[in-house]
Parts: sequence; C-alpha cells; structure tokens
Amino acid sequence: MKVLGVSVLAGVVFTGAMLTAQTPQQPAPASANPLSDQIKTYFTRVKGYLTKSIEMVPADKWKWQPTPDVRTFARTFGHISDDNNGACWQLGGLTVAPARLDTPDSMESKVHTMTREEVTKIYLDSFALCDKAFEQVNDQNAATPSVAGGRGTRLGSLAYNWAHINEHYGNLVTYFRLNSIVPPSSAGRGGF
Amino acid sequence: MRRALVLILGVTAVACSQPAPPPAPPPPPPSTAIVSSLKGGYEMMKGYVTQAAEQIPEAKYSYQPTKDVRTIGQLIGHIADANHLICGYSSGQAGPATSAEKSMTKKADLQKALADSFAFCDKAYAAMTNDVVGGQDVTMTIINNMKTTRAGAFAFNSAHDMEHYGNLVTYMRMNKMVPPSSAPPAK
Repeated sequence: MKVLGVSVLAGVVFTGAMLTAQTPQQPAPASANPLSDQIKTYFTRVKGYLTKSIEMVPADKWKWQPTPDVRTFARTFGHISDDNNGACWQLGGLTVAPARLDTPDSMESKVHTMTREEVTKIYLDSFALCDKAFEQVNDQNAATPSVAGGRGTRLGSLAYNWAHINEHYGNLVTYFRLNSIVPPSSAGRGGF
Repeated sequence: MRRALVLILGVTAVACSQPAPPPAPPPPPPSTAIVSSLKGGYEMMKGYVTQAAEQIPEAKYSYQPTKDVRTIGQLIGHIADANHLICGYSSGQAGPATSAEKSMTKKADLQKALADSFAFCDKAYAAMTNDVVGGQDVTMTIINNMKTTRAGAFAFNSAHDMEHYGNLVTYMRMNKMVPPSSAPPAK
C-alpha cells in the first residue's frame, strides 16, 4: 500500500512536471481596461497600507496626536472613511451618503465617542464601498462625468480620492515614525 | 429591355444632376476629458506643495521631526526628483535625472528645482490627449518595473506627491504653521 501510494504520488509529480515543461509560459493577457484597472491597482495598494495602519496603532496611541492642531490617529481614520464614502457612495450603489464620522472638526469629534472596533468597521466598509465603485468604472465610461460631481470624470474622481487618502497616509507615516513604528509602506524595505 | 435601358439612363442622369454631397466633416479633436480630470488634482497638489515650500522659512528646511524621516528640504527635493522621473514616463520624454534630494539644502535651490520639475510636468500634461493616455506602454522602474498606462503614471505622480505633502502638513503643524490646504481662502 505504501509502495503504491509512493508510486502514484511520483507519477502525479512526474506528470505535473512534464506538463509544466511542455507548456510555454504565456504572457499575462493585456487588460481590457488598462486605464481604470491601473488606478484601481494603485488604490488597492494604498488600501492595503491603510488597512494595515489601523491594525498597527497601539491601543494607548489611539487618540494620540503629534500636536494639538492636527487630527489624532483615530480621527485620521474617521476622516479617511469620510473621504472614501464621499467619493464612492453613488458609484458604489448607495442611495444616501453615509453619515460623516469625523465631525465636528475638533477633539469632540464623533470618532472619539465610538469604540475602536466601531470605527474600524466603518473604515473597512468605506474601502469595500470604493471597491464596488471601481467595479462600475471601465475604460469605456472612464471619461464620462462623475456621478459624484466635482472632479470631472468617473475615473478622475476615483483617482482624486486615491491621492487624497494618500495624503492622509503621509500624515500617518509621520505619526508612526514619531512613535518609533515602521509604517507599512517601509516595512518591506527593511524599515527604511 | 429597351424600356429598362431608358429608365436606367434616366435615373443616372437625374442622379448626376444632383449637387455633390458635402465633404465629411473633419473628425473631432481628441478628447482631453480624462487628462483634464487628472490635471485638476495635479494643479491642486502643485499649488499646495509650491506654497508650502515658499511658506516654510529657510531655517526649517533642515527640520525633521525624528531621525528616521526626511528633512523638509529632502522632502521638497524628493518631490522635484520624482516629478522629473514620473512625468518623464508619462510624456515619453525623459526628464533630467536630478538629485535635488541628495545634493541641495538651500531653500532657493530647492524651490527652483521644484518649480522646474512642475514646469516639466505641465508640458507633459499639455501634450496629452485621451488618445495617448491608454495602453500599457510605460514601465515604472521605481516600483518593481510595473507596467502602467500614461494616465496611470500621471495619477501616480500626483498621489505620490500628495503623500509627501501629507508629511509636510504634519511637519508644518509641529512648527506652528498653517499648511496651505488649511489656510483660509484669500479674500
């Protein structure tokens, strides 16, 4: 039984190896939507950094701020949720815009009355909403007016949101470094 | 048969007597909707970064909130270098290989490098239409040789600069300065 099992396994491995050897490497097919797919790829990258960021903030730093004139960690995450929701709610299929989290613009912000888990859920939901919005954009309708208005085309409005949340990721990078934490975008480079 | 021939000749004669149809109108100029849309975000970012570089005093160009991050001067230089590199990809015309981040410390030099780099990006934007922004024909060697579109490279440049503007915002606030994006509108 043991010999049979080893033989079958060897056969499977050998056959697999032969198939691999005989099948030439095919280049990845070109995207049918190179423009919109590219912006989504970039958005997905910063989404990954920001998703990791909210996990990385130590519990005792949740309401930390480097100076009283800027948002705390918690408020920055609330603000990013608001950015995503504002840019993506219509394309994402909602009929009513989600309520703002980071309001008023002070330490009395609603974010500070919520638990970290509540803020995190809304934050992650806002990224999921933008993922849905991206599903509604392709290279055929990329240049059509944005349903959210304000930033020209559908693609332009999503690209603007990506740049905007990247600005706030830039805030967070400095916050992390001030707390001797390596930000997610630098972690893969050995911390530099 | 003869009657049919007469009929054909008659129809042909009538057709020949009609004026020639007007020439087809020239094709519309290529749309610039996507480039214009992306350029809106670029112009806003350019204004913020340029104003921040102007607003920060020379003595603070060597400021860094902690030793693990760039100084203000290095951030301005990094943005200038990135503009030349990435807008070079976008336009297909390689920009000057500057190293302002590593070689410059004086405010005037860094402001000039920044202004030159934005002027280079302005030219790249001016030459673009929707006809040439697509196609995965640009290789971004700075991020793992990623293939991208020309529009993607433009958008990447704006988002990259915005990330570093986000660094500058925190640096400025820590030095009791109001960053341009939060300043009250000019009256």
